[in-house]
Amino acid sequence: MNTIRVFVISDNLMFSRGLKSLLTCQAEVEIVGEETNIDQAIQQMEVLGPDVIIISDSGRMSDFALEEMRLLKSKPGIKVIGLSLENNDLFIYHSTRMKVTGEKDLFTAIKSNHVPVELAA
Amino acid sequence: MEPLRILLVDDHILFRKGIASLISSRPDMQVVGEAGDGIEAVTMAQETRPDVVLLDVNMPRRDGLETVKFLKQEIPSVEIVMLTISDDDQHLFEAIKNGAKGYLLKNLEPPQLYEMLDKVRQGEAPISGIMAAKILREFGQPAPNETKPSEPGNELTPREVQVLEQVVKGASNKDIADTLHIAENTVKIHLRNILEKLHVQNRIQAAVHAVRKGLVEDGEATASEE
Repeated sequence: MNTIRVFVISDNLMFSRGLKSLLTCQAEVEIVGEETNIDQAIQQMEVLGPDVIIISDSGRMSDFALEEMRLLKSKPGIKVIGLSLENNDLFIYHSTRMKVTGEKDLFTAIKSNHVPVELAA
Repeated sequence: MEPLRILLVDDHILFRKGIASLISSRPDMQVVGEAGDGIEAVTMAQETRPDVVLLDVNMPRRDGLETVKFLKQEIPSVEIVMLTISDDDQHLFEAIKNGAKGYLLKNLEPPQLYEMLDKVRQGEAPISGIMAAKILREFGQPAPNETKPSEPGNELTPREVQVLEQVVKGASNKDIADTLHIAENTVKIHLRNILEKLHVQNRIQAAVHAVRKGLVEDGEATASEE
């Protein structure tokens, strides 16, 4: 079984460390990197080649959307999961928007090849 | 050392689960329960009897500020530390007024959180630096209505003002008695009433209060220590 290589971008260190801690319990998931700054993250991703990017921003959602577009452009085909710090919204770009009801939803979002029907908002 | 028993209250599930996961690696701390809103928090606190509640401010059903009151009422001994993204002054002051022991912003790093939780164990108040500065600033300036006379019934009589003026000048009880042509015992009675009305402990505090609030003509604020 291949491991899923995950890169975390968040300007809130408590949140990103918490996510890392949660994800380390997941056998198939490997956290390959972590960044607070999106420009540095894009540089690092070139080297690390993650399968999934989790991005969480405490800023405004408009910036948030712009950033995920930059991520997708820099690395076509990559899965970008956005997590809001304001509420429990989880986005899988560009297909899904849902509410997180438990940590399992994040695990499912990372592992699914396609967006499961039951996750769709 | 017994682990510090912590109840986590936050409606943001992944943030809460993340902190729970981080704390689970610490031998000196233990998450005894989790809640997603203020109402659930009180029920969980009754069931789990935590030492500390880490409490978010913005939550559905009942926000953290209200929840502080309920928690303190139910379990007076519980220590409550706000953990929030809100750096709003009003949230800070209301939380503390309602009985919160500390106020932390969510942008702190995990080691800082552990350190702050350790402070709670040692009886200290954990407050993020920027929020502590707000508290000091608030107490550093008089409230807008502080220059007005105190509430009815607490106003000083003309005689008490005369006595206070003498105190401000540094006069002893005997000096005051001589100056105002009254018995020294009467001076003492006036002084006791003044301290009570101004909610202060001694004549020096009374003198400082009097000058600051403009209750008397500004003399040379040199109240003697007797």
